[in-house]
Amino acid sequence: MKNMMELILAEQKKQELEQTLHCNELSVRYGLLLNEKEAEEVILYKNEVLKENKRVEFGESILPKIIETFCDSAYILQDTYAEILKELQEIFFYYKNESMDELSDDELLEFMKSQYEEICFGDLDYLKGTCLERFAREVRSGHGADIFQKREDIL
Amino acid sequence: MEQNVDEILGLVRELTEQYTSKESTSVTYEKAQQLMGAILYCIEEREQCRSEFDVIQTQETSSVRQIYEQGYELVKKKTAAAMNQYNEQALWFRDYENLALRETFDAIPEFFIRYDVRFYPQNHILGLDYPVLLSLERFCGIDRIDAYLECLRLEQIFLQSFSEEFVIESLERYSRDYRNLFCNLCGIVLKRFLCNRLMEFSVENREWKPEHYEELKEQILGMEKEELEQTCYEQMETYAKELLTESDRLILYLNAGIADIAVELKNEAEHGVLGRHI
Repeated sequence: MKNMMELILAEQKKQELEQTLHCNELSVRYGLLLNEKEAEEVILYKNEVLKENKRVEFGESILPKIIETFCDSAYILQDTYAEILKELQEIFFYYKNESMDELSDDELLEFMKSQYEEICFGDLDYLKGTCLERFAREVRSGHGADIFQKREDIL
Repeated sequence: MEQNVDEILGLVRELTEQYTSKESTSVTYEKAQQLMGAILYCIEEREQCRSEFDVIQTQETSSVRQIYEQGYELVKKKTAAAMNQYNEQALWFRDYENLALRETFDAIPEFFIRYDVRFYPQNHILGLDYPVLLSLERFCGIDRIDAYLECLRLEQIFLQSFSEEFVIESLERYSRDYRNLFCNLCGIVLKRFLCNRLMEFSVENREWKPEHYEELKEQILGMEKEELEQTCYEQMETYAKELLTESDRLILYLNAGIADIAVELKNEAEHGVLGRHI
């Protein structure tokens, strides 16, 4: 299994870097850019997080989706852009597991973004430790759909 | 080899996309292992039937994908065939009032409802609580269910070659509570049948007197375990050949119980308790 993971990761690495750098075309409109070194670091960090969470990506990477979802946020600045992307990836995979894969990528990202903007005001610790914790609990108990409809009432 | 690994990984990727409906870019290790296992299971299934396919197609022209797809079709066919076998067997199946056998047999349709050939063909879903004479641990998925059904079929052929009264009485002599026990019925009846044959009684003889037990005891003690096993095997083989034209499978199946029966008979003779179960 370990060898299988390594093979998959090696194959994806090249494509992923290109895709990530391609996202600069969108994020630059909001003053955010990743250089090649930063992009490589963020991807490497994602692979570590995947291992930590015992998950594997077979095809597309989640990173471009995270960039697309969050690049227009008022709480992300160029100085901390790469670091925030790393943390967002970490939170994303952690809650993929915590929600027992009951949520699609888009659903989880949509919820993360709305909470990040409207409730946490850019505070990632609050997003991870409070908002998503409650959300994952509700999803596990089978009430995830209700939260999507009434997410304003949760907190 | 490396090319094969690449192709298998490509298949795993596609299967993962199908599984997640492209709604998730990642899956857990457990899920990845399950999907990889699903592909390898189908490939293995195809490899087992290699000769059948090689007539049509040479190995050089078969890609891993082709082999997988052929294996997948084979698993589907095998599942359909097993379902037909179950339905056919259900018409003449007898549980001899044993709860474990009845409930295990009745649970098998649940397998056909829940079996997932595409994403989890290596899962046999059921516990198959009623013990058969052969160990089926090395099989999984439809292979285990198929093998289990075959074991039950052979058992039924053997058991139904005797009158129901003889079978029930043999089981009751084994234990008054046999209806609630997780024991193999075929092995119990086979043992009684063998004792009858060792004494040169008719196969369904039920008139056992104390002197008969003594005589049987002397006979068993006079033989080495291997000799006893061989004698039992020969008796069983002769009977199976009379019973079925194609008796090879039945002989193979019943033979799985002979060694245990020989040990039991030896022990019972040595401790003077032959009459307890026979």
